[in-house]
Amino acid sequence: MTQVRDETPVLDVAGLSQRFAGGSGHFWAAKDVSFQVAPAEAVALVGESGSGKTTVAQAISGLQAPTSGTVHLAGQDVVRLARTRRGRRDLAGRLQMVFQDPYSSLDPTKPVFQLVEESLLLSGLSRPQRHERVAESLDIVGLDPVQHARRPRELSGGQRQRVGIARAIAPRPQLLVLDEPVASLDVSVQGQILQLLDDIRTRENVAMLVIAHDLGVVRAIADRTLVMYRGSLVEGGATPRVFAEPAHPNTQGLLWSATAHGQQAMPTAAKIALATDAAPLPLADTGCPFRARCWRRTAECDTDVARVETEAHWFACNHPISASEEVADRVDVTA
Amino acid sequence: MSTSLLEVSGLGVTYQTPTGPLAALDDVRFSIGAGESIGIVGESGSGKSTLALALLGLLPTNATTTGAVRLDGVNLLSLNRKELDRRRGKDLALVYQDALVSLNPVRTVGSQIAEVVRRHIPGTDRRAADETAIEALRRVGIPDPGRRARQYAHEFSGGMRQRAAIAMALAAGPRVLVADEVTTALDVTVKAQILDLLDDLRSTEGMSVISISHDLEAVRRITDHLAVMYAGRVVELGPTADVLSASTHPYTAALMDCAPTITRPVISFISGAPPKTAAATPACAFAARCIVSAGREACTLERPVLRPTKAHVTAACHFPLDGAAEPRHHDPIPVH
Ligand SMILES: Nc1ncnc2c1ncn2[C@@H]1O[C@H](COP(=O)(O)OP(=O)(O)OP(=O)(O)O)[C@@H](O)[C@H]1O
Ligand SMILES: Nc1ncnc2c1ncn2[C@@H]1O[C@H](COP(=O)(O)OP(=O)(O)OP(=O)(O)O)[C@@H](O)[C@H]1O
Ligand code: SF4
Ligand SMILES: [Mg+2]
Ligand SMILES: [Mg+2]
Repeated sequence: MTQVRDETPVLDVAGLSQRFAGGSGHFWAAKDVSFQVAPAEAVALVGESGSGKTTVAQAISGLQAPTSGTVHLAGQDVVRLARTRRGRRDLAGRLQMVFQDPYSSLDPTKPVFQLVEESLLLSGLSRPQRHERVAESLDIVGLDPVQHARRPRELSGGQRQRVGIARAIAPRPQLLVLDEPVASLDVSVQGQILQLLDDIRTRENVAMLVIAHDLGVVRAIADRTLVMYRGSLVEGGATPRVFAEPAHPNTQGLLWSATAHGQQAMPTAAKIALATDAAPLPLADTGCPFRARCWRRTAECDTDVARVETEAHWFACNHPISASEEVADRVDVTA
Repeated sequence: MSTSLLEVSGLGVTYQTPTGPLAALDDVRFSIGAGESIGIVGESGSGKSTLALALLGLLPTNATTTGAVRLDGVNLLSLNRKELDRRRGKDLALVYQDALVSLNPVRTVGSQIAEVVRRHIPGTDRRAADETAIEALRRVGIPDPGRRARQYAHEFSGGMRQRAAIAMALAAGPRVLVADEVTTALDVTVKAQILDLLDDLRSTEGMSVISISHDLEAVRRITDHLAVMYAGRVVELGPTADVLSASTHPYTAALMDCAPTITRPVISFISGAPPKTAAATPACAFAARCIVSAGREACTLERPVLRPTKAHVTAACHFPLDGAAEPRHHDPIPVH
């Protein structure tokens, strides 16, 4: 559960925007994204494919400078840190990322042990201390010592993903950014890794920003959930609340789609609208990004979108679904 | 299964590693007919991708293979490189677990797909191949495919890359598609679209699908048979619905109870780890983690072989579950 913590946030993202060239003009892959993550809090970022989740993760990690906006990690400006070697060292000690493509993010020529050790090279630890921490991290993610000398291509997909996680936890960062950390793992190993992440979070006070398509995974580990659509955050709040009483039609659509039952229960109007192929939005668009797919849209959605904020829940929609409304197959989270 | 198009028998793969040989597959056997589909699920590291690579003759040089993989009666394992190259793409195509492995970073996505088309469909001119490539991207649900075809892989999101890799594998109209985790990290809507497409190609073109996946729901939807792997061996085999809804192997049953769902947000897993290598021990590889065995001697003394456990289903277990269908999650098997 989320408590409102009055500590300084570990992560403070304000007005983050990322513009890309996309063949027939520019578009916002991230548009005015703002949110915070408190110490030891787990926040999930969900949204359909191409909605901008990885773009946000990369800007936060200092891998790609945003077009505009700021990212502060424990009060420090990430974009500025990422510019210098010293800054990057500082950043690596505080923030680590697990990438969506475990294979291409690992140097294929290096053995596992060295790959993990690399994330500690800037840490100031002595060699024996590093080796101890590497062994410990590999043990935590369940990689056997016989695998330590292997190179990435000699490992299974799930084992590579665990190398990525070991690398990320080794420097004991304050924030872990995890892009689909368990999608390539079987459900049992998924459970192990989720449990592990949860343990690390409580034991070492690490905050997490988790990107995942699997809403079951999100529900199991995230205190708070943010929903992204076409570059914009459209809803956010405590996970049980967002799952039980989604206000934004996009969120409701994701939840319906997540179960066979929900797919059947989905009203026809919603089904048709959600399947619409939406054209790219012009840069200067001020309307609701979701309108082309929305079954509750009115003319005002073309130009404006209202933001509603309550404690523990906010959303950007002119015609939000209210908690009292009859909604087919609303998720029961009392269980 | 009916008359088989592809038949795998006694397939074994051993990797040479710095710490000695590792038996990644041992005595794997199954077959698949035209237009049929089989799902392969199982523990991470149990040999699923190794199986995929073995089927296409793409194993790395540190691997040795035994057994046979027959397509139309021809043992693919005995073909030379050139003969295999000719078959790959057209007879059998693979979608790799890591989409980026199949995509060339310095060429546009569209041109790579067009090249596959031209290589395998003789007489296709450049324009027609480009159009086929765009159509292939559209079929896998990439919005605005004409524009996307001119972009590079790094300009695609993770899910789009995955779909582009699928489009490339499908471009030459393969008879057998080996799909390694193709719907991983796709959102539900896109996933449904891909699964529909594969289903469609099965029924209209008679394409056979071997689908490796951790996603039990996806497997349930598109495969008619299922092989469950554990430590390099098939431990349960049968019609998908029968195996998933009422598993007879304790590993399958335990696996089924691990999936977190929206309404059941509990983290569960099978405690312990699989043995390092399958072939080494005379025991059941799952014995140490098995709650059904609970330390019974047979499990550690003798390796179980696949035998019938209920109608149409075989499992490698000394003490199989009865596999009577019962509602799951109400009385889950405790897994830890
Ligand atoms: N370097 C780039 N140049 C141009 N366009 C890009 C670049 N990187 C990403 N994009 C585009 O930005 C949009 C958002 O991509 P992003 O990778 O952030 O999506 P995502 O939410 O992570 O999706 P997925 O779930 O599929 O991984 C997509 O349309 C993508 O094609
Ligand atoms: N080239 C290689 N050299 C040595 N060992 C290898 C090689 N490739 C795979 N292995 C090992 O063989 C075993 C089987 O790997 P494989 O990739 O087939 O597993 P998998 O079932 O696909 O797992 P995942 O679900 O994690 O992708 C693993 O223990 C892996 O470490
Ligand atoms: S603002 Fe309008 S278009 Fe957007 S989600 Fe709400 S009702 Fe739909
Ligand atoms: Mg992504
Ligand atoms: Mg694999």
